[in-house]
Amino acid sequence: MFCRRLNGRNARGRWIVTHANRLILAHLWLAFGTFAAAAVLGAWQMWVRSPLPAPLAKPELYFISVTAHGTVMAYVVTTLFAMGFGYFVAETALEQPLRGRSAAWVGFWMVVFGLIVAAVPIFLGRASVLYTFYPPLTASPFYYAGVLLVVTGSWIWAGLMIWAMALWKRQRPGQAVPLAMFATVANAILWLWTTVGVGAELIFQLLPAALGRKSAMDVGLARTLFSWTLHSIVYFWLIPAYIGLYTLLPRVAGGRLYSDTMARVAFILFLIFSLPVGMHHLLMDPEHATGFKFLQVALTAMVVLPTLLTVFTVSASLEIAGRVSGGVGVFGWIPALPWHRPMMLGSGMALVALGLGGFGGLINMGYGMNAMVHNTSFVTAHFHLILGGATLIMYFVISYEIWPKLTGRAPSALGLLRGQLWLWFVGILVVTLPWHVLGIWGQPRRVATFDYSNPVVAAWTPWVTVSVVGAVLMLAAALLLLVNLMLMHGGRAVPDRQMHYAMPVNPRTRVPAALNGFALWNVIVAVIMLLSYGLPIGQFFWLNAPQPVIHQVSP
Amino acid sequence: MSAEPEPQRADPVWRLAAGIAIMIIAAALFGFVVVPLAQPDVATIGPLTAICRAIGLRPISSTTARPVEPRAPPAVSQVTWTNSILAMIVAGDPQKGREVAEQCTTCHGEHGIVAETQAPDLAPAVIPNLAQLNRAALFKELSDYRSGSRKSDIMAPLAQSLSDRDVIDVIAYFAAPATSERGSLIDWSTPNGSIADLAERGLPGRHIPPCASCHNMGSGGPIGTPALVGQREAYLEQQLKLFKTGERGNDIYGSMREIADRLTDAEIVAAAKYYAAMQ
Repeated sequence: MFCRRLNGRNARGRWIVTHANRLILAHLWLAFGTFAAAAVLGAWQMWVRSPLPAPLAKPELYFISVTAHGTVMAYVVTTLFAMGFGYFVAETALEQPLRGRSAAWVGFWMVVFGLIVAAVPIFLGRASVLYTFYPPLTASPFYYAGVLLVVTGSWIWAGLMIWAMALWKRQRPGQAVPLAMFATVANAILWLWTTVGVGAELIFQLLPAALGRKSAMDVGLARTLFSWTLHSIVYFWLIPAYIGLYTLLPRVAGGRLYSDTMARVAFILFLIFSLPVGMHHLLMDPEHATGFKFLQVALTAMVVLPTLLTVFTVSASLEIAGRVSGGVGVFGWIPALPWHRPMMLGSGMALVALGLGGFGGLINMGYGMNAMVHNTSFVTAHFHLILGGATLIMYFVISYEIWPKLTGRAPSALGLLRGQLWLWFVGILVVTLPWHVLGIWGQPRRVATFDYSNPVVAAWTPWVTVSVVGAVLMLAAALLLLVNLMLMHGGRAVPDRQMHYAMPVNPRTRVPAALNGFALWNVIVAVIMLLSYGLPIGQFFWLNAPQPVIHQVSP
Repeated sequence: MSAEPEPQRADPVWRLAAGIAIMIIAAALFGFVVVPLAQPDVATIGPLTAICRAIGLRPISSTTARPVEPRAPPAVSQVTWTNSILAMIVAGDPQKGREVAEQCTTCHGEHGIVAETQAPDLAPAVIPNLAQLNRAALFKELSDYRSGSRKSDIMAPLAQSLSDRDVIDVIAYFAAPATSERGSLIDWSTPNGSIADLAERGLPGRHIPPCASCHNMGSGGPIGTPALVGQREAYLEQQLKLFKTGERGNDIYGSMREIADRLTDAEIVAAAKYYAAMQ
């Protein structure tokens, strides 16, 4: 069936992607198209919240906009990118055609259809639930059905990734799965685990309530199930970014990956420690005992291990590259790195944003400190640095790296690409750093308009106004991204369409079985999830608990 | 290919797994045992209770017994929205309710819509329509009349004469059909103007939230919040004024008393007109 395309190999027998280009480009283009639309909404939201006179400044429109912006950015852009990039890795890292491409297309169209089904009620004002599934806010059943379709479509992707790796391993017993694919499958497995929480909430609580089948739902249980998803989803967004740092960046920098084993351990630890930790979103909630909050916060803190492993391994890989390029002295290797390359520049920016966002996260994670910034702009600033800063910048540069492989066309000049990265990076910092300050001063998140005649609120004016400027820069960067990607469909032809991943310093063909698959780690995740969520969820069913906090949907 | 020997030991993996296990056990030990036992209240509640509370097997409450409240609680409302009450109020029989409702329709009109010609001796302008109210709102107000939380020389004795079953049935008769109860979050057709601003967007400068944030269909206000759309003008005006003076006080947390207190008399009149005119 593939013979007409030389089995994906060129005349010299080297692998070139030919089979899934349209599939991958469809995912990535839809991701970035919806991303740019959501960026327009984001910029308008900043404007409305500011004292500057904004058009259409109505609270109900603001909440519609927040719902659309959040749903697209958090669920649609990230999921589509992870899917598209995952298909790319499966073809290029495993060097074989993707199996089940028809199923992959079905998954894609499910996401498209789900997106439309969810978008219509949002813009009709029937789903202004702010993209987090927290009752008592309830939306039109179409909104929930749409989100469920997006998630179900992405499960097809997860299944295909796991299948592709299993087939590859069966054909090559004992051989080490390429790191990029190993990490992609880690993410697919993480995604399946992640979506169980929100999936259960949607199917058993929100949809029956929205359809009028249930007149009341337990808000505590709903919040607990959503917390299951809420932190691990962030790692689902981040893992493609980390794949870029581990498998693309060292090569672009002109060096090698410091350690393949450390990378595998880091991805395994991300899988384990991103799941049983969501209760740190419920620190102010009354329905859980302190011991479980403590346990999950302690497990949250352990994500420091894979994070520091990553910082160490990536820095060491870059140091190798810098010294190969002639850098000397303790820090001399840093300026010797090829900063003119978008992947290099963007990775540096992403790590800065990740560092700043990470420090904010430490504050949100601490019980006492969280109490001071709970539900303020500080929280919004934190997750915008992680998603808008670290994650999306890596998505941009990964796309800049793989687009020529997909289209066969190279960008004519790198200036526009770097310009886009700088605009976005400066923009995200100018938006989020004032939010941190405003949050500490008590500016609540998720509030549409403020009364700037109040002296306390009036003091926020300069900071809010500055962050509007940042939003404009980000919007410009979002639009420039589309231009840059578009230009890479024309441009000069690239001589080599083979995707090269970074080689480790010590290449190995074999690794311990446990670092080449996920059976053991899935068992460990199951055990830890049972320990950390078993009783907190079970108490809603088993214990004679006090009267639950319930929400009546319709009397 | 590197000359490095293939790893012979499976150690790294097991060390990793063991490390994870040790970290989790240590975290659990701290969270469930060490930290609860280090709290000052262990002296009064005992170590076992402290640990059970940290696990969530015992509810957390203050360590000392609460003194018995000598006075009766303020009569705001005796209605609590437990699961059983919520289940109960949807279980009424509208057919039986129709018989009970015979004593209601004299004033409130057939199907809960007051006919303008009806009962002129009872000052009909201030008798509210019941038709568009949901079951929770009807249940709360009727229960408040029964318990004395809401005062009326006419309604209180009538409500007290009803049995629990009568209440459930009669609200089933008057309640709006379930399908119409989740309407649009936002009424797009609202006219502009200062009173529409107040009703739909509130006046943040004067700390007045929009009426629509609770009283619109499906807007997520407290359970038992009545719909205002199509309610009779004189009734709305009268009730806002009663809230303002505090003569009516069955609003939980005093939210309506506080809002009404911030409204001018002219705004009360205009708001009543606004909602009465809306269909």
